[in-house]
Amino acid sequence: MASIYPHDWEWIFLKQDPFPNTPPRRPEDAVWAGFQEVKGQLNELFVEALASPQTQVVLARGEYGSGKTHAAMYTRRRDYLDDFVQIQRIKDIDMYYVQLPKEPEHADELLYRDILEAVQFRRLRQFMRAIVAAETPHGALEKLQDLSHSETMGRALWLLGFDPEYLEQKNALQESDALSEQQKLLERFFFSQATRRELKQLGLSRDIKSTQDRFHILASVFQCIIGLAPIEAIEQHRRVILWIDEMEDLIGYPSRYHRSFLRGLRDFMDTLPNYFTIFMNFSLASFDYAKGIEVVTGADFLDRVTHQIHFKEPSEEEALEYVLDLLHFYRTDDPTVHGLPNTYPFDHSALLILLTDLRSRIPHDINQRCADVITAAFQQGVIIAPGNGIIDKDFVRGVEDRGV
Amino acid sequence: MVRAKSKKTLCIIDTCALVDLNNIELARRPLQKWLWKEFEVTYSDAVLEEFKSFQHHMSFREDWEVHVWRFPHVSAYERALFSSHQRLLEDKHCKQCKQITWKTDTFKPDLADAKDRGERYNCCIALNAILEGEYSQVIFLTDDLRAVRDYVAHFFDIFSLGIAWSLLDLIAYLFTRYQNNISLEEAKKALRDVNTGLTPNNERLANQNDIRHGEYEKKQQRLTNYYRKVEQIAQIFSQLSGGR
Repeated sequence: MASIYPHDWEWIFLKQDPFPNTPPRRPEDAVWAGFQEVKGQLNELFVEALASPQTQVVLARGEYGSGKTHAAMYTRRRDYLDDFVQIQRIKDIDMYYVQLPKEPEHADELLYRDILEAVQFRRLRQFMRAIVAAETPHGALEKLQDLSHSETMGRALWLLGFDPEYLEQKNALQESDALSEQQKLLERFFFSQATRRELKQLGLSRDIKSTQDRFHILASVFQCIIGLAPIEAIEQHRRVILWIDEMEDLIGYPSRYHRSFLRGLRDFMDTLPNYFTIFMNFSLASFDYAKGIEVVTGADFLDRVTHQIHFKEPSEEEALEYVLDLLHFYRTDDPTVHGLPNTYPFDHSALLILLTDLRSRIPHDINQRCADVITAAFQQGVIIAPGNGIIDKDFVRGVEDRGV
Repeated sequence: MVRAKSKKTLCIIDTCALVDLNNIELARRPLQKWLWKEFEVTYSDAVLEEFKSFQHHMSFREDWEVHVWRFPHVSAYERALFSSHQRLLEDKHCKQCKQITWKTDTFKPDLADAKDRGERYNCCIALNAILEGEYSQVIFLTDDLRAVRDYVAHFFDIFSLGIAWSLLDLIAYLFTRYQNNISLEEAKKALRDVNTGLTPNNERLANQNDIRHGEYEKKQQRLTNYYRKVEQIAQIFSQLSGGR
């Protein structure tokens, strides 16, 4: 039966539902609550990332719902990243997030496309123009061809930065956002959509065909974003951070796609020995995570891992801290001023019971249960006005018994 | 002692396993060819009926009719075996010990429903083949984990007439039997390919995300188990060959 009571978060001194079970739409909307150990590990990792050139291969593991995707979202908050950039010498951080493709037969194409989309051609052109501007046109071309180990791919990258039409406009101070014909064709080329005639127009002898081609291009693109200065010149480099989420889906890749995809990914990581961080999120329920990852990815993949972050299930105290942090973040008013506990709309013992009774205290399950109990409290008229009514332990147990 | 060349073991295969055989190779040879060479393969006419819609998708050709095991009174067998029986259902997944707890459930399937008839009739064939005296044991090859739960487990719990295998077991067996011709990597490759297509039993899972992750966990654990199995087989053989 539909609720006859209003569902007003402000009645419980909250701006909105603090326990959503879907990720926020924008990194800026992500909130970090509790999990100080994981946050500390991430902070250390970013400090290291910006203090030394070494590439980091990070295995982020934990069971489903343990907060890995949320961490990937939160760490893309500009204000979070800015703190690290300001205390280090590095030029900047560029962070990209993609999910492992769900279609094994097109996995390399989809990952390639998603990463290029995340980078954005507009930004890529800026990086390439800077590279071309720093050299003679011929020198830049040679450098990019060396970098990509391919005359064709190197030329395509060079063309992104060497655009006579754009230079003309720039010289005439008429810079516009409109794409030149060359740039439109290049986008088609990078997405393997160019016809033979278009390839000829661009002066490119072949198309992007293989898995290896795609990973080579991605590595070259990232290297161009990172910068081509000598490795030790930290301040002349950017750090590129790539999160690949849901890596566990590799289990569904038949061997013919699995092998070539992972070989490409391994080569990609090996081609970027500096100023690159790759996070790979794995949902693993098994205790023997090393064997589990080895089965999913192969042993030589695990050898490349330089850091691990384990998203552990929190203790009861940590879970309580997590809920209190969330409630605190979304507060419209301090409930203690009204003689109510800081756990409001729960009384303290009710919240403890809720957390103790959970089968698993991963954030996904905590959020789900808290949201269920609060919704039931609204629906059943437990909270009937601002600060009027509180969820006690009997109500929590009642909701649990009904399996809401 | 002079050993007579033994007759091939009877392998009763279900629709799911037949379909899953498609495009799987073991040591550059179709798995279907390994299976047909190694066993006397048969199935019920209900399986043939279910399989009809898949036949034209199969990469290999076979006279499917020839392998059908027919016998009278199959419906009587079916009623006697499956009118009402106990099955084991997954109850809860303990997050602490990462184990599944089980509960028993009285199951009264609608025998008039063609769904799962292939599995039920295949069980009847297993019993009939032993009663006829032609075979002493059977291999029951199925990739339908739900059907195993609902019928096959119950059948083999009562009748010790053989063993139920998935295609993963078949690969582990072939790796043992033909260890000189199949490398560990080739066995693992085939295991991965079969595991990718295995049908999960997801009834306990509530929503799409849980299904995706529940399915993933099971696939990962299953593949881990079978990788371990073939690694142990390889290790034992390497010790044996070293000791010779």
